[in-house]
Amino acid sequence: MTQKGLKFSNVLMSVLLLIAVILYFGFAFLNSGSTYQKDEFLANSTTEKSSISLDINATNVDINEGVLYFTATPRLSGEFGQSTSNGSFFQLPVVYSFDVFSGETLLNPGAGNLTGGQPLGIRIEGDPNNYPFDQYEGKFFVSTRLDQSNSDVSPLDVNDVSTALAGFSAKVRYLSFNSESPNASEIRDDISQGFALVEWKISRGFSSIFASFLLGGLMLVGAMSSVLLTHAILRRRRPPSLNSLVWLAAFLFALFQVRSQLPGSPPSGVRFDMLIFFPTVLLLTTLILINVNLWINREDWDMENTNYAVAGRTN
Amino acid sequence: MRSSRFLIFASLTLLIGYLLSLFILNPGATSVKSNLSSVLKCDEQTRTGLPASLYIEGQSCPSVVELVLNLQRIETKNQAALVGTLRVWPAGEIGQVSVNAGVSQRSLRITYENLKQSDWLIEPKRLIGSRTLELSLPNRSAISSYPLDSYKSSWQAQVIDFQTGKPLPTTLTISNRPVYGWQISVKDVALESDLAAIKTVNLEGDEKVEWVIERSSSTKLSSALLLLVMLLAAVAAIMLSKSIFLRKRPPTLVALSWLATSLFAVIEIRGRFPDSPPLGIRVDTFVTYPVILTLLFLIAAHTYLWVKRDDWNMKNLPDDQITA
Repeated sequence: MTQKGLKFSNVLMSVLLLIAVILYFGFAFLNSGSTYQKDEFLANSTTEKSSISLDINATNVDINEGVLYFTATPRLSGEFGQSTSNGSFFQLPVVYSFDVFSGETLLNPGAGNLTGGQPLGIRIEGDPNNYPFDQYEGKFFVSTRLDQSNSDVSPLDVNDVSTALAGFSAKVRYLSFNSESPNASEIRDDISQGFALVEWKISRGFSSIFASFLLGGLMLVGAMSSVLLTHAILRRRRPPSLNSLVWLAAFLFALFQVRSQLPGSPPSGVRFDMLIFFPTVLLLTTLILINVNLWINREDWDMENTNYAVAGRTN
Repeated sequence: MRSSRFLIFASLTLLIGYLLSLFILNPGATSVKSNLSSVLKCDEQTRTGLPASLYIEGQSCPSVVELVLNLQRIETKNQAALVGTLRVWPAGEIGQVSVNAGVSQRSLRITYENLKQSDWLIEPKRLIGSRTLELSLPNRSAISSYPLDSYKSSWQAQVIDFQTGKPLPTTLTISNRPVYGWQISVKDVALESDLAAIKTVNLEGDEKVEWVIERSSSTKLSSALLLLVMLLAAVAAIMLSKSIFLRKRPPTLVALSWLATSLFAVIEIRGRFPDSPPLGIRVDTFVTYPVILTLLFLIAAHTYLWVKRDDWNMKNLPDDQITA
C-alpha cells in the first residue's frame, strides 16, 4: 500500500471509530434515563386529603414462566387510614380486589389493622426466543370498596413507584377498563368509580441489548479470527502449530463462559444460540480437527520464524 | 492435504445443513386443538349446539364454568412434574370474567388432580385468583433417555355448586403458549356427558385431558450438537496423540496443555446441555464418560512419553538454519 493510501485508510478508520463512539454514547445517553416510563396518571399521586391509593412496584420479570411480579402497597389517608413506612393503617374497612395470576386476590384486613405490601404476579405474553429483542405485555386490574353498608364509591388512585426493572425497559400506562384504550376522560371515570386497569409493555433495556451484541460480537470475532488463522495455515503462509491448537481449545472453553454471561440468562436454544453460539462452537471444533490434521501431516509443524526471515542472513 | 479438503468440505456441508435446519426448528410448542385452546365466547356461533337451558334472558354468555389451564414448566430434576396454573372463569348467570381472573355469583367447589391441595372452595362475589398445579409425570426414569425423553400424563377436574352439591356445566381451555424447550401435545378425553359444540361443554361438571410431553426439536438439536463437539474433541485428541505415539511428532508440554484445555472444555460443554439434565444419564454413559476417560488416558500417556522419550519438546527447525 502506498503512503497516501495508508494515510487515507488511517483517516477513514479514525472517522469510523469516532462515529461509533458518538453513536454509542448518544444512544446510551438517550436510553439510559428512560428504562421505566409511566404515564401522568401513574406518575402523579392524588392531592386529596382523604384518599384510597395503591402503590405498585414492579420487581421481577420471569420470562420462562411468563409472569411479571410486583408488590402492591395500600396507601390510605384522611378518614380511610394512615400511610406508614411499609404499608397502611386501616381506619375504615377498605377492601382491595386484585385481578392477578399469582398472589392473593383480596386484601381485606378490616378496620383497625395494619397491612403491608402484597406480592402479586400477572401473566405476560411474549416469546423469549427473540432474545434480546423479546417483548412482553400484561395487564392488571384492581378495584376498591368500603366493606360497610350505605357507603359511597371512593376514588382509587394507583401510583407506580417503580424506578427500574433490572435488565428491562418498561412502559406502564393506565387504560380505560371498558375500551382498554388510553382515553383520559374514561380513565378519570374509572378512577372516580374506584377501579383501575394498568398495562405493562416490557422489552430488554439498552444495556442488556448492547451487552448481548457485545458478547455475540465477541463470539463472531473469535470465530472469524480462528478462520483467518486456519486459512493462513492451510495456504502454507504459516506453519501448523500446537500453540494455535491451544488457542482454539481455550477459545472454545471461553465461549461457554461468554454464553453464561448473557444478561437475563436466556434459556438455552433461543435464536441467539441457533444463529451465533452453536455455529461458532461447531466451527471451532471443525477448525481444531483441521489444525490437528495439518499438524500431523505437514512437514512444517511447529516451525519457528527465525530472526533472519525478517532481518536477512548475515553470513 | 486431501484429508484437510475433505474436512473443510464436510464442515461446510454440516454448517449449511445446520443453517437450513434452523428454518424447521421449534424452540417449544404446545399443540392444542382449536376448540380446547380458544376461550369461551359469548356470541351466536358458540350458542350452536348448546341447550337453551344454559342461556338466561338478557345474557349472551352461556351459564358455564370455564376452567383455564396454563402449562408453565416441566421439572425433571428431582421429581418429574408438570407445573401450571388453574384459573376459573364463570360465565352467564354463574359469574363473569375480568382480565386475569373471574368473579363468581355462587360458591363453587373445584376438585382437581394436584400433588398438593386438590380442593378449591370459591367464595361468591369476589375476584377468583388462581391455583398452582403440580402434576406428577409417572415415567420418571425417562430422563435417562435425554434428549429423547418423553412423558405421558392426564388430568381431571370436577366443578360443583358448593351450596346445592350439584355439578355445574363446565368447559376447559388450555393455553397454547409454548413451554420453552418442550413439545406438548394436548388431547381432550371425550366423556359421556360432553356436548359437542364449538366449545365442548360437559353438563356433569367433569373435565379430563391427556398430554404427551417431549423435548422440542431445538433442544434435541442443541444436545446433539454439543455431543458432536465432545466426540470431535476426543477424535482430535486421539489423532494428535497417535502421531506422537508413532514417533512422527515429539511429546511436548504444549500438546499436554492442549489436552488439558480440551478436557476442561468437555466438562464445561456437559454443563451447558439444555435444561441441565442430571449427571449419569445414558448420553453420559455412552459419550461424556468415555470422552473424559479418553482425554484423561491421553493426558497420562502423554505425560509418561514426555518424561521418558528423548525427543521431548523437540523443535522442527527450518532446514537452512540447520545447515547454517
